[in-house]
Amino acid sequence: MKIHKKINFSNMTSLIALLVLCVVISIAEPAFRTWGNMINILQQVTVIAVIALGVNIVIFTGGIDISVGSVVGFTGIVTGKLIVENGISPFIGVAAALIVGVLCGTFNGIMIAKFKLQPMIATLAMMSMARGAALTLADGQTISGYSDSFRWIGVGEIGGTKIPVQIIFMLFLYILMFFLMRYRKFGRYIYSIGGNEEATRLSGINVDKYKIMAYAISGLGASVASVILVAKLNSAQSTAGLDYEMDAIASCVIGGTSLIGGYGSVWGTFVGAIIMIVIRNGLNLLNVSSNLQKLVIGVVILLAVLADSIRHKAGKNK
Amino acid sequence: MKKRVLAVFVLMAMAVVLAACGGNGTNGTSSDLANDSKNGSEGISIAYIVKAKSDEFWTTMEKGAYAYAEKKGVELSFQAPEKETDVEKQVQMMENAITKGVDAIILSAADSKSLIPSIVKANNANIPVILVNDTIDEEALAAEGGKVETYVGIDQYEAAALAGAYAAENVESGKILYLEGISGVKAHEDRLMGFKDQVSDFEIVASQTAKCDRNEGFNVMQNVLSANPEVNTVWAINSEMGQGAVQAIEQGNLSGKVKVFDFDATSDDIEALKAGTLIGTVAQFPNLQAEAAIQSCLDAIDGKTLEAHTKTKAELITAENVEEFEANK
Repeated sequence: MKIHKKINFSNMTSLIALLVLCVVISIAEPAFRTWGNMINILQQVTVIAVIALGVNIVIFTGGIDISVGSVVGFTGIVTGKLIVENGISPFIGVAAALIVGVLCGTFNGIMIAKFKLQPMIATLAMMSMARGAALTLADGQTISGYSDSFRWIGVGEIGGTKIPVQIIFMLFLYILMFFLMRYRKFGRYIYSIGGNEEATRLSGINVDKYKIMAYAISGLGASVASVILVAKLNSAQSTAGLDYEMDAIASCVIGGTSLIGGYGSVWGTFVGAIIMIVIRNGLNLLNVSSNLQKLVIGVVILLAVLADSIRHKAGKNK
Repeated sequence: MKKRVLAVFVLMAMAVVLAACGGNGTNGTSSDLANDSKNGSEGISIAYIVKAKSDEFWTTMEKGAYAYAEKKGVELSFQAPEKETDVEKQVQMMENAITKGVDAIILSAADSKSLIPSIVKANNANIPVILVNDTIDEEALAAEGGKVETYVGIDQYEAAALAGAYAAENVESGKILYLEGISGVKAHEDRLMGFKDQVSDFEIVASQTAKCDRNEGFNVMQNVLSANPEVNTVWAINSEMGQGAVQAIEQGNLSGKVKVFDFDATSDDIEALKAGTLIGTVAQFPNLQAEAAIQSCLDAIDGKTLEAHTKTKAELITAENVEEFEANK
């Protein structure tokens, strides 16, 4: 019960922050409020939000995954090599990219759960390996020229409505994850591992299995995001996704997920990702330099972590 | 177990040391031999440090460099950090090259000031430094007592002016978005000014950096289109951002209405030119730059004095001459 209360509270803080942000930007720049701009924001948030969705699960367990940005680059190149250069059907190309993503994540999970490596170190190694694999495979070339059927994932619109397909994908994945985390035992175990791993193990739950699953989901999220990104830009680059892990982790933190593990929510992270994109979008509209955008996002992350820490203290004093 | 791991580490360390020594040893003898032989460039080693290897511009330069190095019998090591903005890595690469005792260094600086101490260090070690593609802050370099032999590359300002002049002639009442590069990179600033000065009567709708990244370029273009739908011209100072803008415009069904110009003439640019989604792109022939840079190294080692700027070719590619450009590639 207590956990649920906390989740709601953290959800509310970031949601309120988002609303305040939107009101302020709307006043400064009327173009912000347009329907088209709302769609733009959702479209721009998709890649980061989908990566954050997976990373979030890892953070719930008390771990971290900094390899996701590189996995985005690597799996993107996989699609390019298969679909563009070898003419394999997009369906199989996408499936292969997703499998590669899951394998990268599973590898991380095994290293962390079975070989007891620090999550930061294990995923740091994967970050370097996946980026290296992408650079080697692509040999510095940008792969472009995807078929329209593949590009539909990134630029397609739901018949006549102007709503990009990728937004629907993203919302679907979030709803799915929400149910998984809230109504399935998987969710309860993940939170429980983050709360107290030893106690969870002693109560007879196969902690290792769930941890590996969490990292596999994180890898899967990165590869789904990668497919969307490649389809949107009609090109795969070995440098795609650089620094995205930081954006994803920031989304989780801004959304109220605790890096200590054990609590946070799926929708909070969604709101966190939107906050980041709204800041960028708003400052773009206002023609503010991107150097300042970085500064603002840094301050927001700091505030989010401070809020988390204050919440923790308050919880202890009760 | 621990001991065994330790033993493996020690062995690996020894292997690395041996390999490094071995390399130096052969270098020494071959350059001794080279002094006697007629081909003066035999056995010369050059460190070629650029900003990235991850896009076509750099890979074309790399191929051109290795081809020319092989022709001249030069031992070449072409290296780059993962990220164009990773100045720190470049400094390390400079230091490694100096420690290794290469005969010359070719550098494309990721920042116009931060590499200056490394250049001075190379000067002190009597290693000639040649700049390629990116210039640095010359005043600051002189103040530190450093020098470079020459800068090899196109005149970024003049090259951008080619595109600017074309835009001034062909776009009526321009309302322009500038997609800037990375602040502090002189080449990027020159490209911006070169274009700007040609179209001084255009109204500037927005001027934003998209960090030379395609996805970022897409997002900024999309945001600017919704805030200022009247925008009808885009100058992107590199191809990645230009391509991002092209994709965003295509998605907004505004192809043809917004005229995009960019820099680099990558294969994506060529495709876009043919499709009509891109109006012009500036080609800077990185392979020719690599050849000129290596030749400059050899001349400098021979003791020749070089001109401050060794200019290489730049050309505006539009739908009119795209086929010719492709044929000569």
